[in-house]
Amino acid sequence: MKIDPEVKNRLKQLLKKEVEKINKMVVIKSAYQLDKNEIDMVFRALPEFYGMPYETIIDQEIMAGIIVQQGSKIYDLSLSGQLKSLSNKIYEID
Amino acid sequence: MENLGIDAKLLIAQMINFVLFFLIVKKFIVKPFNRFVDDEKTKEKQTEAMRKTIEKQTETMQAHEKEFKQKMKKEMQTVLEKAKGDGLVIKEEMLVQTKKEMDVLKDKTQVQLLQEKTALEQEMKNKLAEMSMLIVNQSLKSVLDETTRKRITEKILNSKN
Repeated sequence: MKIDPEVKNRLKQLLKKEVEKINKMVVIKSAYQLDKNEIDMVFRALPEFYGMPYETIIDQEIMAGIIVQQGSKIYDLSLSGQLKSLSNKIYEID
Repeated sequence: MENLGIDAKLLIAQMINFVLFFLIVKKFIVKPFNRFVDDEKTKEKQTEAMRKTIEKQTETMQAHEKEFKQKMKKEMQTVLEKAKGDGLVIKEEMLVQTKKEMDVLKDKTQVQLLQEKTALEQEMKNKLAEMSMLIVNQSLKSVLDETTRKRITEKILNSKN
């Protein structure tokens, strides 16, 4: 099946916009629902995301703290992340 | 002569007869007989010479045989000694080779044992770490209430500031 080049081009542009939108979106994962004050604290802690659109996700597995993701960038400031890091350090000890 | 009782004619005839007899005997009996005797003597001499030659040859052969046997014995002894020496050398080489192989095997086994020990230790350590993490995770999950989670989150964010 041959797609009309104009339609193809528009679809590409649309997809690009969506990807950009998703990439700009800051996802904040936490173990409970963060309040406004806590979100402000997050942006103060990570000023590079300040003013960007964001969404919050609740994930009980992280126990405490937060995980911030934007595109391919991930900041793991969670208790589970710290435990994982500790676990990796234990594995590395000879 | 007649008075003596001798007949001259008879005497002459007898003499002739004797001469003839002598000649005939000499020619037809004595000569062949002598020849036969000579031939026999010659044959006997030849036989004797042949016997002597054979005896000499037999002695020479016996001497050769004796010499050959001695030579054979000597060679056999030499070969045996050489074989014995070679056998000893081979035995030594085999012993050295076996020792080398044993050493290699020993080293290999030691290395293998060490590797297995290290792997086992690592596995134990990993299991221990895994179990510890599981216990910590489960404990934290059951212990942490929302207030504590909030406090921890605040502490983490403050430490980042």
